[in-house]
Amino acid sequence: MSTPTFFDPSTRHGSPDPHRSHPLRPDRVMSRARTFIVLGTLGLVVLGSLVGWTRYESRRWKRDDLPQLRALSSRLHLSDLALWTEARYTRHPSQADLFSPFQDSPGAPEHFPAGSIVSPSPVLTDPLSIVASGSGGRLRDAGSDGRRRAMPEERSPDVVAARGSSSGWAFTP
Amino acid sequence: MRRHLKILDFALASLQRRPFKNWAIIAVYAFTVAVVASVLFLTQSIRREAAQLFVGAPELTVQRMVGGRHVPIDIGVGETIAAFPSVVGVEPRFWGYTYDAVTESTITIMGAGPGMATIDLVEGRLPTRPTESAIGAGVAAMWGAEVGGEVILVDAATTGVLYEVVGTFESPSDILTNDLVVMTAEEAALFLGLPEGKATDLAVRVANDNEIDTIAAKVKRAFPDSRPITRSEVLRTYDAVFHWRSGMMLAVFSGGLIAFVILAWDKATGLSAEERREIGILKAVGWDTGDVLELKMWEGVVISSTSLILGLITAMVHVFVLGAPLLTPMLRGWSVLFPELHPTPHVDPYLLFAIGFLTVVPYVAATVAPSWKAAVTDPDEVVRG
Repeated sequence: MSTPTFFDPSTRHGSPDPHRSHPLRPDRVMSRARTFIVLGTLGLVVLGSLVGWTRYESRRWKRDDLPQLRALSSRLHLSDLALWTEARYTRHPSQADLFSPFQDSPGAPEHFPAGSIVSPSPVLTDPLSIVASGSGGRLRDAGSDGRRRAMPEERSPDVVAARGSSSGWAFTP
Repeated sequence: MRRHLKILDFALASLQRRPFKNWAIIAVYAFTVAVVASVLFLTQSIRREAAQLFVGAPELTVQRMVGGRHVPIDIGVGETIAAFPSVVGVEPRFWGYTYDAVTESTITIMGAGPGMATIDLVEGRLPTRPTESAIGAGVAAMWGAEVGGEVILVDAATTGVLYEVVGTFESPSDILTNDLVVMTAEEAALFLGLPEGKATDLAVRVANDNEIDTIAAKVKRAFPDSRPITRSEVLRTYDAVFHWRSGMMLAVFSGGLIAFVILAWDKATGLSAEERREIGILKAVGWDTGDVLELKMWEGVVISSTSLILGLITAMVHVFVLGAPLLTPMLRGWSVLFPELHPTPHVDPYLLFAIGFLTVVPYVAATVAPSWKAAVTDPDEVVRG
């Protein structure tokens, strides 16, 4: 009398597969958890390697490129990044004046895309820095023309005279 | 430990039962993390580069303002400023722009004062004669010019002027020099049409950094129509421009965050009937509330940690390996001579933890919170709905 057989997925295509275990056998328990932990660790290792690579590259840039870039910036007196060439207040945001975004067309909306990215320099909007840079003068009495003018607190006659001078350039003390 | 692993295993089996839905969540979640992280990595890298580079910039730049506009300044002003204590030297800067109608690009003209003609990052040398020029990589590529070649530029009097190219700036300096054409200072003044005895502005070298603000105040008092710009103000400008809170970057950043909030909100607003039934059955077969909550926590951790790792890896590769090709069009605007971005790889661990904390914790909380209500309800009631 032959032994009764039951359907087993592993025997579907012929003889039983000795490497295929039953879903409820102990070696199958937690195999998903193990796989997840292994893959998660692998992901963390890749992420950690990338962070390590960024640190290495950052140090290499500081050691090899930065001194040369600083020397270039210093030699040519460069004060801005050459990113946006659309308008002067986007090419040289640090050198822009208060009104530059609008001075070519008063009341016009922002017409350069980079203007949406380049926020105004905090220097332009920070009243403290304006005061600190010495723009706050005192009001003097009305002159003969009846107008009131803000005058600097100190202005020596030689300084005033020196303003008209234009002798040479590249000054040193 | 084994018990926790078994619950994790069960959570993975539970997620596997709805593979399409969960992989879709992981894809959207990872994409959101990648967008937010890309913006943060790129802006942080450029901000850091600017902060490091402009340490070499002039301590003070003095402009003259008339009617709210920046106008040429008398070179003689520099003589007075040079006499201030702590001022090491003053040099006039001759710079401006010219528009090239053929390539429809705006080029920055910069005059190089006396000094070393050969310098690192310049293939060839800087100009020493009025007929010579050194050009940035963007300008060189646009005109197909190289050392020994010639370029024609239209000056302020709309006359085409021929310059011999004696130097080209090398690629690592693109972010500073991409659109530059450097000439001798005298030639730049002539080209830009600056009146005799005038410069665009004055670069002031100050010996003691602590005295820069004092010198700026003195300059302002001596010349009320001047506008002194200190180096720290230049650094603050770039800090603001590339801060994640500024302009378009904020728009992209908030778009990503809002997408994530919608995703988390969708999870937090309730469980599907199938999920409720699953919780009810688990309670009926003997799981306690703590086990059910741990199961849901593991589901949240599996989804969010997988998405976080995939998103961060994608962002790093996108920004630091590929040069942020998806963000560049937004940054570029209408610039014709936009440099090829090679952001210096730099990741602040604090930033990684912040991104992780801001994404994983809310998502796990949004997964566990609605399950808690179902887990504390009578199983019979939950299963019957």
